[in-house]
Amino acid sequence: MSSGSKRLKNLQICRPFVYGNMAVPLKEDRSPDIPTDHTHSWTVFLRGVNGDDLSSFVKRVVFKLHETYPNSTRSIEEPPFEVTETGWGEFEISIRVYFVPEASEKNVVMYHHLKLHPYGPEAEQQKLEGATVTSMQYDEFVFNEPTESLFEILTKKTAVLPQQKSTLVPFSVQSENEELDRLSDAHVKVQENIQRLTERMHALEREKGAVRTL
Amino acid sequence: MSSADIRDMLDLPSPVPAANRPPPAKRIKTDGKKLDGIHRELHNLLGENTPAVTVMQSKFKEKPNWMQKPSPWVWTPFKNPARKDDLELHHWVRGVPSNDEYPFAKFNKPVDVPTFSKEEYDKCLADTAWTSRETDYLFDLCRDYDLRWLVIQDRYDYKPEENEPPSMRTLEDLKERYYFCCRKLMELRRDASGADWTPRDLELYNAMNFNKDKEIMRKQYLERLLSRSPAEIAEEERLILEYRRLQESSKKLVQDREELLRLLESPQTANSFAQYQSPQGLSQLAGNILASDKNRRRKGAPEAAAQGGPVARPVPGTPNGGTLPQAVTPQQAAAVQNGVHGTKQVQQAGRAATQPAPAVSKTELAQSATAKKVAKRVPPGQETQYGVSYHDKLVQGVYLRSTKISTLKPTVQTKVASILAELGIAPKLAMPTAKVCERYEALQQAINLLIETKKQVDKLDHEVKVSTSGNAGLQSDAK
Repeated sequence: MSSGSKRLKNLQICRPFVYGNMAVPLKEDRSPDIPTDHTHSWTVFLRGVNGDDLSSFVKRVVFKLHETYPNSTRSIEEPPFEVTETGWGEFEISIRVYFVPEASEKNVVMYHHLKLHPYGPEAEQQKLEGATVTSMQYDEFVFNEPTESLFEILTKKTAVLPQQKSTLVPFSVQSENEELDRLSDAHVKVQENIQRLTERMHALEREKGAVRTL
Repeated sequence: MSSADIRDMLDLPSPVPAANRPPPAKRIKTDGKKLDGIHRELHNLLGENTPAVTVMQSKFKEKPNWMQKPSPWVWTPFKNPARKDDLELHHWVRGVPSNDEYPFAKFNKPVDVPTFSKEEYDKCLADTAWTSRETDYLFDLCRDYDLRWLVIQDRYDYKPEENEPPSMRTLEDLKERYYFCCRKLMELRRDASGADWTPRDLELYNAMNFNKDKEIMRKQYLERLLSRSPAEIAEEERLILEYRRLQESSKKLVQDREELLRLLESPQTANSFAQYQSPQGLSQLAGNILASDKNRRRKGAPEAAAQGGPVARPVPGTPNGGTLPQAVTPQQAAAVQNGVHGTKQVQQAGRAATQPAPAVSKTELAQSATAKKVAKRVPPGQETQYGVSYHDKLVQGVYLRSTKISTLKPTVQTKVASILAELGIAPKLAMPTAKVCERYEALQQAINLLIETKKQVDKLDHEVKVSTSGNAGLQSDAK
């Protein structure tokens, strides 16, 4: 057994990444071989947070599109792991990530709803502008007890989130902290409520005891 | 028999050459010809040169020969040389009568009934039950009737002389006497001539070994067999079936016994199984088997038997009240990691579970052998930058962090979700990093606790109200 395939116990290493899609409404000057009922051109992708290269540990990404697309199972073997297509409807795309053989891991799958139309208070305006619509999701690959080779690969480069938010990279330390803060606030509130309720409970118990003895 | 033989026997003239000669010749010719389908199979079955019995069914009648004058039929006398008298009979013969020997004479083959002289008789054939005269009579009958026993027995009408008892001879008696005499004669002649028997003689001798009693019994059996009633036949069939079934079941019993014995003598276990006798032990064992099965299927590479980490793996003390999402593995996972062979470790883990052991802090783990390896690659302070962390009890494998947010029971989950909505937290995390997930889990637990407390409070409230109203009722009644 080579040292590469030995697993490091108690060790967990994670890598963040982003997946999602961007969509742009098709303009008048589109190429004629796009069917006329397609309204948008979209790209579904899976990439590292900073534009990092995932191919060091990701061998291939398989995007399964809607059956009506020809070759609806698109297998992307090298970066950038993305598929660009045109269409008119929103559907669920399954993204299956296969890791490099050194990892000896099985594939993971995630689902992404393709977003074409803008949403929210400025939807109408955005539609008129023909603005790009994006829907992205942050997630992390968590490797429990990675093999040594995988560990080597993953520790070649650091995986740090960018400090600030930016339009291209909406996930950063800043956004993380925002979330953390939100959660902490909520937690504090809940704790307050619990406190209140426990006090109330004690009071009621005393009352009950008092009533009993009457 | 070919058509030529048949015609010969029936004394028909040979047929017109043109129509029927080709078939016999044809058959021989086809040996060299390529045969197809059924003809090939037939030839393979029969062999190349064997002329089987073929029924020559010519589909067409013989072409009537109009040119030839019809041959006349002649009323011819003939004599059968096989007859001892000179009986002359007549029959119709087609065409010119030939003076060949009567063709059926050759079938008059007599049976070889031995004759014996008086000396031979006196030497070995003398018998109390049979007189010499009767024996001669018997042999004459046999000669006359060609050893056809039924006929002989029927015609047997021996007229004994005055001093002899009347003879009531059954078929078996006659046969016995005859065969006995023949055998004795054969022996005598062999001894006299000094030459040993040929194999054919030996066969004959053995064939003539007539056992009267056996024959009588045999015939009785056959009689009985023939005279069975249908009910008896059915019963016999049933008995045979039952017997066969019993045989099979007894055979099966023997086989099962063998298997059991084999099981009992199965190989002894290497380690003691005392640890598996408690209920925990049993569940551990079940978990081991399950996990080892999964491992064997999932991984090709065998698991490392040598453990790098510390041996005792008690449940870690939770640092800040929130459970680590990654360390939610049960004891059995620990057993899995220890490997199925490490029974001692399992024992320790089992024991450790029952007693609250000191929590193994993360710093201890960090100092384990694995960490040392890691430290070579990653400078110690910068672990978070690489996303490296240490945990007890990891289930091996890769997953997405967003998938591992723990779920509660559906009813509870809805309540939690509604409270989260009130608090302004989206149900799906915007950025599921390690810290965020931790906090989220903690929040969920807190909300759970809140719900429980609220339930308690409501219950108490209700009870108090009930008792106060009850008391009030009593008091008002009492007053």
